[in-house]
Amino acid sequence: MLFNSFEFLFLFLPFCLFVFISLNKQSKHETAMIWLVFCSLFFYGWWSPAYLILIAGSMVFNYILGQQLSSVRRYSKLLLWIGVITNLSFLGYYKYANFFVDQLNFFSGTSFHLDRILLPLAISFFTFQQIAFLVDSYRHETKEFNFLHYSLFVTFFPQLIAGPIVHHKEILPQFLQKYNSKIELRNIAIGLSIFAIGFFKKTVIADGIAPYSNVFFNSTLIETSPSFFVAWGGSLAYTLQLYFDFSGYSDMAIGLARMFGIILPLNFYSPYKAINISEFWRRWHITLSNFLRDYVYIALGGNRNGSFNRYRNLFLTMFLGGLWHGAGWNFALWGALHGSYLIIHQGWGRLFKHKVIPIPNSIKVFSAWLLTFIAVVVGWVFFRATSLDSAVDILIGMSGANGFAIPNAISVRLGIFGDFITMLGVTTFLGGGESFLNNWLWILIILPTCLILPNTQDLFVNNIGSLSNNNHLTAHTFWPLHALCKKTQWKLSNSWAWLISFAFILGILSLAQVSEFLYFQF
Amino acid sequence: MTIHSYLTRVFSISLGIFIIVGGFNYIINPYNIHNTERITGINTFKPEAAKRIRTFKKYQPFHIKPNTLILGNSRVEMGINPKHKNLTALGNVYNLGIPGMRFKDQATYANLIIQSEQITTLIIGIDFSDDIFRYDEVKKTLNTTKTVLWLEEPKDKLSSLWSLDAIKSSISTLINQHSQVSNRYNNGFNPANDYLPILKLEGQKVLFKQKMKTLDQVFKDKYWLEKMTDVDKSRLGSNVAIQVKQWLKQGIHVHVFINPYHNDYYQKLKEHNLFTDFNLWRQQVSQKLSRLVTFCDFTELGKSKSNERLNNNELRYFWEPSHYKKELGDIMLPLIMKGCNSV
Repeated sequence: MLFNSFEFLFLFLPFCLFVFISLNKQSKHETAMIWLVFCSLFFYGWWSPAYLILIAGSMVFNYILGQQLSSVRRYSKLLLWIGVITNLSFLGYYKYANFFVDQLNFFSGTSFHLDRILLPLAISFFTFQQIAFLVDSYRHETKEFNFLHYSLFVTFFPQLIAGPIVHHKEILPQFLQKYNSKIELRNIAIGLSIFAIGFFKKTVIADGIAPYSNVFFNSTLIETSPSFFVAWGGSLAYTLQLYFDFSGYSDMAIGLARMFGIILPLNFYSPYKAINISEFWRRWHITLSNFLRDYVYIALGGNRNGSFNRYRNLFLTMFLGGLWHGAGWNFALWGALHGSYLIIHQGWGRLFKHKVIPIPNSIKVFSAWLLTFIAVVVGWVFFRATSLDSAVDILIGMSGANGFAIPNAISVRLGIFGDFITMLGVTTFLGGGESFLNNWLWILIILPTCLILPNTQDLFVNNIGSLSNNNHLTAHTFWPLHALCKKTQWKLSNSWAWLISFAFILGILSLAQVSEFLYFQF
Repeated sequence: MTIHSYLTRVFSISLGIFIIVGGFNYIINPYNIHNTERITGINTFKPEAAKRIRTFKKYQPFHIKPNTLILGNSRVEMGINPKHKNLTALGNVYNLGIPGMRFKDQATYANLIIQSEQITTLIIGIDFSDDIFRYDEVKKTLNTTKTVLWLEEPKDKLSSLWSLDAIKSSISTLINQHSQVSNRYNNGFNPANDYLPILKLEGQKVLFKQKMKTLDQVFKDKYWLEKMTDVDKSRLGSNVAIQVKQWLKQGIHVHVFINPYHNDYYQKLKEHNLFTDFNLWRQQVSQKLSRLVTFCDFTELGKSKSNERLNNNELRYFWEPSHYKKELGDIMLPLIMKGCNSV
């Protein structure tokens, strides 16, 4: 079931919420939690009921093992290894087995056959959450929870499918809180407002720009050598689509959870405002970055044992983070690229720590932002392209090596300016004028929006929108016209009621054209 | 403001916007699905209808209660004018031409209308590529599509009132009220306004160049031809003939013609070694249909009219290699109605 579907919005959610509130009002708190687990499993089973067995089995296994790890001291390390390896084996089988067999056949000339394995929805997310639980149980950092609470932690439907990846320390205590009917309406108002903003970001913006990125990346399979403006148009369209799709989904998840009185962790904080790659990763898919830092980077040794080991660990963490997104060399390359970016950024910081470059700060900030943003877009090309050849073709186009061309229909409408750019070497091509124009119009409207407007967290920080305290942060940020919106906050007012209603209705109107969330595939 | 009044306001504003959006889209009627008036300066031109032709032509004919249907694809849609003087005696005429649509689907659309309207005459323009598919596939598709079409009606109509696309299209319709935008008349005819700005700014050569490039890609594929066995080739035109016989049994007058093309189109067929197949198809279709109905093959007419020009050097009878103008259709219509063994 998709958040942006009629059945979810008008049947599942109202019914689930109504029964949950009713049970809580009758002080049947445990029954309300059972109801929520049931609804979450129904939500998960909507796609493929068969995989309910997988998620249920995974929960039972990890819960029992977690109990053992937190109570038994003997052989606890062995138990932890068994737990981690079992979880990773399942993930590996469902996610990487086909890829592994394909690569083996390709490199060794063998012809092993494995039927296509259908990836169970959310397996990457619930596996990571439970591995973290096992590790913390081993460290005796988990408290006593019963199986019901644990099940809700794993399956809670707002975050089950594509995150935010929740940590048991953040969520389980919230399930144990006494229900307060006084704050129930406030939670619904805040949750609905956050949900409406996410809904708008996903359905209007991400789905609106999606056709341009899809056409571009699919056409480069057939027609290679895109010219400069076409290559940048397609790549930027995907850059914006992915951000609004995933951050929109995260806002929707945070809003939905809030309606049930649960505050989820922050997952996005205006990553495209970042002026260096480390800052980008502090703002993009924050819960995954935190997981990788806490359970991979630190486990590998972190920044102990010298610079070389530190850089190696950084690279390996990002490489594995890339592979987490999917079984493909494009994801591995994307991860490796970001690992390299981080190494270069940290190395640069060390080399020039005390050197002052005599240029105005605003130029420095803008240049740093531009460089970071271009690096990120280049990364997305590898992430999205369907083959390495295609990615390289696009990057060559973006470099200008394939020339600079615009549609003939636009050139003739530019008049003297058209003649001028022709003199500069800009050529023309036939067809695609309307699509080219719309693609760039979207970019020219949406990219400044990303940079200028505050994000959902900024808007709701006074109402504890998420578990983060981030609030209009400007450090390591390129934020033009920040002064204009630094005090903007959601509040109970007429103007916000109008804005939220518009966002919600525009989202509803998009339901006629159903589209899945990009991060469902991971 | 209290939380309660905030939530009440959000729901009431949302409901209000929802109703206003539905009303707005109904009045503007950008896809011409609903039977609303065209208001000068508001929605006389329907630039967005071109994006939903397959949808709106399922419903629009019922609003004008046609007696005569013109079937075909984009060539017919912009070439055969329902208001032509030779058609006035045939009652309400609706141009059911739909771009890219093959005969099997055209027939399905027509049969839906025939079931509930008093159709007395059908004028059918056919194309080489439209007819090149296996007969058994045709029969299967005709039956299933018919059911699907009826099931789609509530979805089509609701999404034309409440969808983002509909709002965008309504706004675009309001903004683009001038004679050089794409349009569809209530009688289904396409005045081919889309070509006007291209001709004015880029010239007809550009249109030709672009179309020839597209034709190269289409003819290069040839998948539809390579799929055919010799038996299939001997059946060329059979599917049209079978359907035509059914209509004749229902007492409907049927006129069939082969669309004309510009000479460059025929040259392109030759370049791709398709001209022999094309002639075989013409021969088979002619044999099967001229026995049943009034039939015209306008291939030679197309060739002969290919290079006639207007004062501004624009071609008189063709927009580009595969689309003829209404002016050529006007010459063809008297012949179509009378029937011609050879033109």
